[in-house]
Amino acid sequence: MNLKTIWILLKKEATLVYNDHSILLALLAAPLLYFALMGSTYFNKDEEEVSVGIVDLDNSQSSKSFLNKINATQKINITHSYTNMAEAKNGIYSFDVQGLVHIPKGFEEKLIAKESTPIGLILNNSKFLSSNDINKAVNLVAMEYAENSRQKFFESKGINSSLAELKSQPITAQINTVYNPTNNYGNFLLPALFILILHQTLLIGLSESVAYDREKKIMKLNFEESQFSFLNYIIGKTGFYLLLYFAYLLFTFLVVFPVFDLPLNGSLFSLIVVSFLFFMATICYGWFVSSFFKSQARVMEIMAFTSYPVFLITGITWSFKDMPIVLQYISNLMPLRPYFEFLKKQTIMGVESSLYNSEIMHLLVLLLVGYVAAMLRFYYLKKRFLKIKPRLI
Amino acid sequence: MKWSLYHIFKREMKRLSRQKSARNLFIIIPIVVFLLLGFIYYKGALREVSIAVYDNDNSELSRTYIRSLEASPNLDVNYYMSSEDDLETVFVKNEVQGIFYIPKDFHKEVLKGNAVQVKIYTNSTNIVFGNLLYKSAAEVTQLLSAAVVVKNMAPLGINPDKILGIVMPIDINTKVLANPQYNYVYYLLPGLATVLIQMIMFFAASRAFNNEWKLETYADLYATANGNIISMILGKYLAYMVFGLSLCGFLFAIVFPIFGIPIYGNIGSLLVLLLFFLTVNIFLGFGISLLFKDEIIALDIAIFYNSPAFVFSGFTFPIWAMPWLNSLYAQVIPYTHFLTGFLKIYQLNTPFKFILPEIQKLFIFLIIGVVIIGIGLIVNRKKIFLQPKLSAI
Repeated sequence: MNLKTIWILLKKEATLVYNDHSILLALLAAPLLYFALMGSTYFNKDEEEVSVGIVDLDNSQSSKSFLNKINATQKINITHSYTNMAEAKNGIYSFDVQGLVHIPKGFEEKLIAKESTPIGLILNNSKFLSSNDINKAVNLVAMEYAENSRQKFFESKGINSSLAELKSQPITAQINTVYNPTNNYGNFLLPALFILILHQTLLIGLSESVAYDREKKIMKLNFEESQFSFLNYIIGKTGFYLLLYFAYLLFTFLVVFPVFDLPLNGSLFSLIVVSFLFFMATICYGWFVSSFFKSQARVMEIMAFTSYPVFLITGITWSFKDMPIVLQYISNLMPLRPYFEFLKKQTIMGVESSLYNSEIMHLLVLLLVGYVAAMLRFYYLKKRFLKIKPRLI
Repeated sequence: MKWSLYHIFKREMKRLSRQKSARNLFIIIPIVVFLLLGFIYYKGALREVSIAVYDNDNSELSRTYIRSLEASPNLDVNYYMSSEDDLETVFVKNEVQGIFYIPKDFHKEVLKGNAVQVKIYTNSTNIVFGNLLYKSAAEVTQLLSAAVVVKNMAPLGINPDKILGIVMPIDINTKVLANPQYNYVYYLLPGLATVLIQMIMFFAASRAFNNEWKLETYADLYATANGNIISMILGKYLAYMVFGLSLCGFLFAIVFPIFGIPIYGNIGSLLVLLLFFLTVNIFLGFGISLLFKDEIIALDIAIFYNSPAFVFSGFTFPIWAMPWLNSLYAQVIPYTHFLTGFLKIYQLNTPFKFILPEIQKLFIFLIIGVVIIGIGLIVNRKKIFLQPKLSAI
């Protein structure tokens, strides 16, 4: 390893980034703009006041009271009142409302007569989040009615009010949402989203630079400048990216997380160290993959389409064990997979170190795999470059 | 103009067929990414979420409760905790998503008529599991609780016809429209695949003209069009449309059937919407391509503009819950409007008139596309109108 050589290559790479507006945009503007733009989308972290329509054919005191209770829940906002189902159906079709509560005639009468009173709940399930919230809120209000009705029954049999209340719901479920107390969307998605932004911008920027080297035929020159030493080359070529993304790391955990009120329950030191390892592995993988491209535009096009697959294959939004076994293997070959697990345990869960050692080991193995793959590719390309005889003038 | 339009169309079809970039965008990326995304969610709905149970009572009632949990299609009791187990360790080491804690004297207290609480801890680092566990836990507990209430009511004397009306006075009949199976493939794949179609069309179109300048084939293009810019644009547009429709055909005729995704709506309405959607993206891409001579800059803009389209579309997180600036940004992406129309047709099977608002909005984007093309023609007029004439001489 020759520090002077590395320094020369590092400066050369910094100059390339500075002069290439596209790489500059990917590395400097895109992370910050996406942080602001996409992060702020989830700033409120959860939805409130989902629009719901009603068809109250009973139009009684009881039906109004029931609907008021639904409207008083945090997540529901009754925005449309329809006179009949045909009109209400149009409301659903127009996406004016996400759900519909239909109260048939005779609602109050049946309630007073202590008969089971059917009501209709129509959900537009094309978007799960809103549909789930409406379903949950309406069922909770119905459950409240059930408890009151049961309590009144026991009271009517001479049981005192407090005992009747206990008897009305003998078994209750106290549901504690651990780690994400409000079960909100923002805390669930934002940490991973910020890391994905860094991961993708790093991959796009680095791959553009490597493809540029091949397109302009300066990779051979860089190899020569590194004295054909892989270590000199890889540190010199990618050191700039590692330093830049280390700075982004600090910015993310020290500035962005507090701004978005995201939990950081584990050790900041281990978070930074492991994140550094993660970026090293990503860089090795990134260099290896992009060394196959000879066009900057083509590598940009391809890399732009990797965001969704690499994010979703980690199982962050789904059950990992329910994915096909082949995809689980592929996922386990990507640094994002163990890193997301580690990130979850370190930030939102804050578990003790023994519980995330396996993710660190996994990441170290992938770093080694990435390093070896990049090294083998380097020696393969070196061989090819050395075979090419310089043109005679 | 008629024949020049045909010649341009033919020329563009040939050009795109030979281009590596078009091959990547229209063949490799859709095949790999659409299928990959489909296979990630191939199981459709989440079933049998792993849970742990701590039975501190070991009574008949607690065992009944556990049997109810085991009988739930959404839950899988795969770990029985002992007093030595720690909550955090069980969550991480046993990879369970929920822990059900049945307290001591659970049965005794219920017999005494006292209310008891089952404590449920859900790992809400992933809200998909969190929501499902909440729903299942509430269902199982409420059912058992209602059974106990009925048992307690019987000796007090109750009219059997009134039991249901007292125990559950409001009976919610839920009708779920658009994906009643809560299937994640039906939910996510169409959304993700269509956003990728927007990206593909936009990226490809954003290099339609500047790539000709780069490869120095513009003079040939100009000559083929007999200097008629409208023929040039429309000929290219038709070729891109053929590629775009093939992409849609691949999605709806191959990918959808592979994963069993149903299309509830009218295919004709869907086709009209798709034609508008593809046209808008082609025209916006052409505008960028004519405005920016450097195809890398054009591609940067295309990537930056399109990458967050899915996040802003309101598909997984509603637009009304976003800060106003973000909801404004959501409106300036054609995909947001396409998605609404698409969901209306494909999932809700709405009549055509309900997608007219979305068609109108897409039409505005089309006008914007034409305006950008116009600006591009003016800004780069020397490159578009004059240079080929000179080279023709």
